[in-house]
Amino acid sequence: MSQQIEPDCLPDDLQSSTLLNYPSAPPALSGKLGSSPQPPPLFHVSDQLPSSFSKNTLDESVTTSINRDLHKVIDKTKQVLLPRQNQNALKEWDLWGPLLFILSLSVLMSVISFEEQSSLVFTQVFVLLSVGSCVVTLNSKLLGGQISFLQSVCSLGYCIFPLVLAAFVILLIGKNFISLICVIFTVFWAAYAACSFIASSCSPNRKFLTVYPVILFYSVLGWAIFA
Amino acid sequence: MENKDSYNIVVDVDDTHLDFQDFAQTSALNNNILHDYPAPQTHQPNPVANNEPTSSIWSIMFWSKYFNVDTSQMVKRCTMSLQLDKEFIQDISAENFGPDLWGPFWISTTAIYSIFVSMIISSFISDRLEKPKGSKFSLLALSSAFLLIYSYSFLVPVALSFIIKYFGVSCSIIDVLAIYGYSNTIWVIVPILCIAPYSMIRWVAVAIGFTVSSIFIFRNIKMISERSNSKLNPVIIITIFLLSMALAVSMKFMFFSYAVVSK
Repeated sequence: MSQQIEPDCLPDDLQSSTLLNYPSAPPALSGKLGSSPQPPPLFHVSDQLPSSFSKNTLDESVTTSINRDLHKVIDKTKQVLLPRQNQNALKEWDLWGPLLFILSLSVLMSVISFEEQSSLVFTQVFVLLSVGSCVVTLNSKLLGGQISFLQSVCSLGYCIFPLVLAAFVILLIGKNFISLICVIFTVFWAAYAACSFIASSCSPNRKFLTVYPVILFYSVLGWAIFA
Repeated sequence: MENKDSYNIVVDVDDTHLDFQDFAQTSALNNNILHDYPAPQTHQPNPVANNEPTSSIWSIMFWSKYFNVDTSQMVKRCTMSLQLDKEFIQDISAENFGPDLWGPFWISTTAIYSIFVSMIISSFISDRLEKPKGSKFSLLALSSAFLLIYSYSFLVPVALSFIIKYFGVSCSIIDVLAIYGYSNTIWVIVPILCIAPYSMIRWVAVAIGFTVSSIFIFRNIKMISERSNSKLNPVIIITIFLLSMALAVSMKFMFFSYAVVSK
């Protein structure tokens, strides 16, 4: 076997080559004494990148990859829905989790609905969820909120998870008093989790204007699930 | 020597930059008189301050000036629309706070939400009453409510502002959009009244909705035409009232009609 370039070592290689190709590197103006001078960052490498590249993801089996992604989705769901934990959980956003929750909620609601309407209900819920989260995000951006678009769509999508639980409860026990309480509780949970994320990005005299669409979004879903 | 020449050119470019500062100030003056003056695209230090011609229609910047409202401002405008206040057009004029699009969009959306919720609740009530069959609520009512309300509160104002311009009254599309959007405030309340399972109450509620919203629209459109010292054409007045009535009647038959108790 000839020597192959392993893609996993790429960031380190690039970093060392930038160090070599920079003979007149300006000395770092501040820093700890005794630490080796860092090369000036010619390109942005986020902190998470080298650690994720250190594992060899090319050789592993597909099930391992899917498992790892699933674990990431579960981790993020926990971090979004328990807002007391660290707030910068979603710096690394993805759209797998939202897609998973939107699809499962649409499927559950089409199963709950009447036989002849199920495909229409699926379409409608899917469009409502995806367009709705985009519109809510756009609203907070237009009001001057300092958030990235896809990060906000991601966290709004993760907040759908309690409603998936509520729809599952209705599928199991039908529409009665217990499932009504369950729906109300999950709507409050989802709206609270999403608001604590969204409201932190806007100015205080526009807090209501930013938070109100979020509440509207989740309560429409709650009514639609129980209807 | 060549190097020195090129250096001189760079200095010249700097000189034009210095000229440009002056030029921008005069063009800001010109902008008030001639709207079609092409403003410089770059070197704008504060794009939020005067960004009417600079930012494109696809950028967030262009639209965020129409979302420049506070919560208290919003509440004030909503109460004005319920009190049929014709000072509303004064409040949204450019010298005060400017028109906003937050209200039109989210008030219309709240009206849809209100229709949706009232339909669900009244279908529960009619299930409890003696007609269990035939009143199956479907989620599909939501999309027809979306279609009806959004087309009334966004397509109609755009068309109407073109008609008004055709009859020689200057008005901005955003102003008419804001008037129509805030006139929907009453349609947030009417569906809640329509939960009552009596046909008479529903007709009265829909009539109240029609009256309040159409008079609010009429008075403020009239203010727009008075502002430019011209008379409002009767065609426009009839159009406003007919469209408003069409909305009210179609809402009554589409959303508030099926759970009537019949003995």
